[in-house]
Amino acid sequence: MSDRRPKLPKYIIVLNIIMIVIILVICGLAFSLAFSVINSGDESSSEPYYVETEDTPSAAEDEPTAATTAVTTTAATPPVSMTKQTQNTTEPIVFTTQDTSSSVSDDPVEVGFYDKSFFSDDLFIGDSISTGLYLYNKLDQKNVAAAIGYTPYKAYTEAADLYDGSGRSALEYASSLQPKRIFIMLGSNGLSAGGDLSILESSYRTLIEKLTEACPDSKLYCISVTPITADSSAAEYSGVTNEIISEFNTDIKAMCSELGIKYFDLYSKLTDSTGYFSSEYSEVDGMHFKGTTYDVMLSYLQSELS
Amino acid sequence: MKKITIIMAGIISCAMLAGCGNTASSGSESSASESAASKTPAEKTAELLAAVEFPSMVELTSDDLSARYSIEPDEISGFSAYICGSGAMPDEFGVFEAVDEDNAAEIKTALEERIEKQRDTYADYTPGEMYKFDDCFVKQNGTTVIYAICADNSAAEDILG
Repeated sequence: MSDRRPKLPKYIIVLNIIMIVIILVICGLAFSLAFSVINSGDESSSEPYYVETEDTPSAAEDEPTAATTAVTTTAATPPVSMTKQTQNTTEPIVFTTQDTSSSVSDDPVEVGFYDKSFFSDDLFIGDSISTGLYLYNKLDQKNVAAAIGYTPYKAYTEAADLYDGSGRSALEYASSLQPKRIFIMLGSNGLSAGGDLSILESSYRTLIEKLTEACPDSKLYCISVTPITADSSAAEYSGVTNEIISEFNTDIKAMCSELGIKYFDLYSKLTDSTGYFSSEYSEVDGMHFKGTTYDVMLSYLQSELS
Repeated sequence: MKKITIIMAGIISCAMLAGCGNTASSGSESSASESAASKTPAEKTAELLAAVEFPSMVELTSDDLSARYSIEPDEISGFSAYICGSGAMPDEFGVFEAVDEDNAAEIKTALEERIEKQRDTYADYTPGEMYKFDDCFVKQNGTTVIYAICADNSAAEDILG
C-alpha cells in the first residue's frame, strides 16, 4: 500500500477541466475570426468592378417645365429603343434610329457595331463627356482633344487634355494632326439658365471657321448637345434644362446647314419615352455618359458615315 | 512531490490560458494586417470598389499613368488605379508599388500634384463634389504609395493601406 500514488484533490482536477474548456472556446473563437477575415476578403474581391446607380424617377412625377419641353422637342424624334445596356457586354445592342431629318437613316443600327479603326484618322473635340471616349477605351486618346469644362471658346484658347500632355489647345492639336474627320461635340458647359445663347453660338461658329482654316482637308461634323435626366444633379447646378439644350441644338443645326456641315442628332438617340436622357445611359449625375453610351454614339456615327 | 505537482499544474494552466487569450486578441489584428499586406494592388482596389459607392469607374493603364500622372512605367513594379470614366466626378484612387523608395517619393509627389490639379478643375465644375477632396490623401509606406479621392476616404485609406 505504501507504493500507492498520491491523488490530486478534486478541486484541482475540476479547475484544470474548466481551464481546458475555456482554452478550447477561446481558440475556437480565434479560428472563427480568422476565417471570417479571410472570407470577407474573398467576397469583396469577387464583387463587380462597376457600381452604377440606376433608377431615374419618372418625368411624369416631376415639375413639367422642362419635361413638357423635352417631350415636345423630341416628339418628332421618338426615343431610342434598346434591348440591352449592361457595361462590359459584348452582346450587340440594337436600336432603331427614328430621327426624321434627312441626314439620319431609318435603318436599324447595331450598337457595338462600330470599329475603333474606323475613327483612327479622326479627331473628336469635346468636353468631359468626350474624355470618356478614351477613358473607357472606346477610342485612342490621340483621337480625342477634350477637357473637363471645355467650351467652343476654350477649344481655340485653352489647353486640352491631350495624350502627350503638350498643353496645346484642341485647335492647335487639330492643326498638327490634320485629321481626316473632325467631330465637334461641345456646348454643354456654356449652357445655363438665363444665359445668352448667342455668345456660345458665336464662339462655336468661330471654332468652326478656325478649324476650317487650319485643317482645309478635314471634314467637319457637329454633334448635338446631349439631354439630361429628369433629376440631373449636374443640371441642377448649372440650371440647364432640356429646353435650353434643344434650343441650342436647333441653332447649331441651322448653322451647320448654313455652313454645309453635317449635323448629328445624338440628343434624340439618347432620350427615353419621357423625353429625358435615358437613365440606362446616363452617369449618376444625369448628364454624363456610361461606358455603353459611347457604343451607342460611335455606332450611330459610323453607321451614318459608312 | 504532491505540492510541486499541484503548483506546476496551476502555473501551466494559467500560462496556457494567458498565452492563448493573448493570441486570440492580437492574432486577429496581426492576421488582418498580414492579410492586408499580402494583398496585391488589384485585390485592394477591388475591395474598395465593392465597399464604397462610386460612379462608373475605369481602370487606368500604364499609358494613362505616363500621360496623366507623369508616372513612368520603369518607376513601378505594379499598380492598380481607377478613375471616374465619364469625367463627371473627381473619384479616383490607386495603389502603386514603386521599385524603390526614391521612386515612391516621386510617385507621391506626382499624385499630390494630380490631386491639386483635380481640385482646381472640379471647384468650378461640380462644387457639390468638392467634399470628396476634404480628407483625400496620398500616403507613402516604404515603396508603396496609395491615394484616393472619393466619398469615403477614411474607408479607402483603411482598405488600400
